[in-house]
Amino acid sequence: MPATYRVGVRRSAGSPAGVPVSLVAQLPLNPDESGAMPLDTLRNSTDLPMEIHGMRWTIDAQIPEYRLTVGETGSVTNASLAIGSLIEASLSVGETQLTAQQVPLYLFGRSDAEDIAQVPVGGKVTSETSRGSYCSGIWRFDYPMRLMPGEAISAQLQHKGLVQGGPAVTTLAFVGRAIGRGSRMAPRRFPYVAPFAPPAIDASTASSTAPIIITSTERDLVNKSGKSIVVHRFVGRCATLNFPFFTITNFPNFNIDWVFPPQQFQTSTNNAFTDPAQSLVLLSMRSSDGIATISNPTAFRQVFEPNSRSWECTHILPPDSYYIAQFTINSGLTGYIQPAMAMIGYQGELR
Amino acid sequence: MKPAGAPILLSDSLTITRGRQKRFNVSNLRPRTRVPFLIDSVRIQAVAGEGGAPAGAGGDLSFRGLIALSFNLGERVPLTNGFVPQWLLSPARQATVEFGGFVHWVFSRPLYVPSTMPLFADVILNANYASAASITVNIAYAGRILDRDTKAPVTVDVPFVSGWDSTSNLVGQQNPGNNDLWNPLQTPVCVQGLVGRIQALNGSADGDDTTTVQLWSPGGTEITRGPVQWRDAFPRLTTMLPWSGVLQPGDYFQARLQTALSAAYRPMLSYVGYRPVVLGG
Repeated sequence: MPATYRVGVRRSAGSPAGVPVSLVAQLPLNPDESGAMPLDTLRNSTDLPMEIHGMRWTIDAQIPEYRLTVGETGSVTNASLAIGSLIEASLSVGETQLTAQQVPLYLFGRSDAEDIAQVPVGGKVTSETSRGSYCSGIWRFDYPMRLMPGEAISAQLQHKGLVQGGPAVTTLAFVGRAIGRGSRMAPRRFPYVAPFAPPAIDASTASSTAPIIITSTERDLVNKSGKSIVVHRFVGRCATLNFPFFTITNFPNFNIDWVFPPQQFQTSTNNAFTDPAQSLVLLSMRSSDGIATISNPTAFRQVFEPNSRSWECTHILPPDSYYIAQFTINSGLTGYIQPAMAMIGYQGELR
Repeated sequence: MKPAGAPILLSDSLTITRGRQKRFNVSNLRPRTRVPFLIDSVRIQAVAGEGGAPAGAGGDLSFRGLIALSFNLGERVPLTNGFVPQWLLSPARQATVEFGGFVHWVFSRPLYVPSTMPLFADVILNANYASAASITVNIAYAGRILDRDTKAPVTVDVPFVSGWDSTSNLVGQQNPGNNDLWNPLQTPVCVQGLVGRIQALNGSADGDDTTTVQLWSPGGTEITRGPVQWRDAFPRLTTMLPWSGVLQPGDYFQARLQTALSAAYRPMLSYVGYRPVVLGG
């Protein structure tokens, strides 16, 4: 019988009432260090179930603010700034893994039409500028995740060493509401994220005759949940590290991941508004059942819509199925880049 | 309900010079096996040069409305009224400086593409483009592939956009003609809104939004009460004036634009919507 399909996702209904809740934990990590968030701070210690609607994350690399004035002599050290790939996290609730492996924080969820995982330049470019070390993001779950009384969210973090110096402090806040007694319980669903996040690469050596090719494995973009999952989107980030934002002498370099510039400039010394990596890194993809998901290598920014960094494509992925993604770089780019992607969806009852 | 199909993204690119028209390679814009698929959105990106990235040097290289596209499903079901400037295809946040514009036309309803009817895409680079050098235009269809034995729907909601390009520097008053923002089809179009953009003549900058605009719906009903500032009608966050209604065959929107005599900008308008189409056997 021919299959017919309807497009759309039906959201579960829940009780309209409920006290807002926020489970917050914080963890400082030195470069290359790993650690676990305090479990009890991410535990539902009440006697009511909680609906968790999303996760908010912040990274504070605690680099002291530095003010640089045009004409100031001397070099600027420690130019790198915080970026969402600085910290990776593995999440679970009891025996249910929410992530297939460690996921860079800025791969959790869509972007919000602005570049939330990079540090904005403050002040006036022509006179002085300041730089900070803080970035943040929001991961909105497609379905609320129910956390029963006594259950806790386990978060294992790792500092990837992109910024050296003192510890980076990561804060995770799981926000939602407590469900009142007698509320109708929706089917239990958990978010699921599987990443492909290779280490940063030196892209300056790539050429059309000697491209740099990075390919994922069956263990990256994979459904390890043991059951079919619904994938809602692929999220992609392509960060350029230590990028020479301006050619002005003594101006610091930045870690950037933006497609559209946050400000408008027209100076001749400006050499970066759009991160060119978004166009020069090409992506092709195929699924484990042989479908050429992206048969022609396609520019990163054409796959992941620039404002949201995502490709919305709701579909079902059977257990142990996976995608093989391949990043190709044909032309020289400045310095180190870090392309990465993740598939995001949910596990549990699929209806 | 079961979500439809596995994801698929089909892409192609070509180089073009000003005043020329080209068609994208349809073989790259359909699945390798002849199966039906759904298109959720079309992504268009143009960059200066051949096959390169947006240049890193200072300056604005966005092409704005100088690139116009025409889409046809199987050469007989148009998605556009001829060539429509790319940035009129969909409401979008008005970006600031862009190196190589990016246009994301998200369909309000996924477009069902039968295995026998590819979606053809043609592109024109306006003769007013400042450089004689070639540019690269990339296009991608993002959607989902369906099973070979998927039952075809009786009717398909096909997006439709009709646009007006003033094509010259606007000085004083200017009005689209009756055949610009009209419905050239034999079926009514469900309109979702009007999109408005202004650029410099050669596309080198955004236009001045001190232009005023007055709009009337089919039948002469005022949409704006008298002339309003351009950005009041088409705010930068969306560039769209929502308008829900049906445009019957032959009906049209009317507009009157007015700018200071010293100004010289090139405004463009479109309406976006969809209509049901019976694809037949």
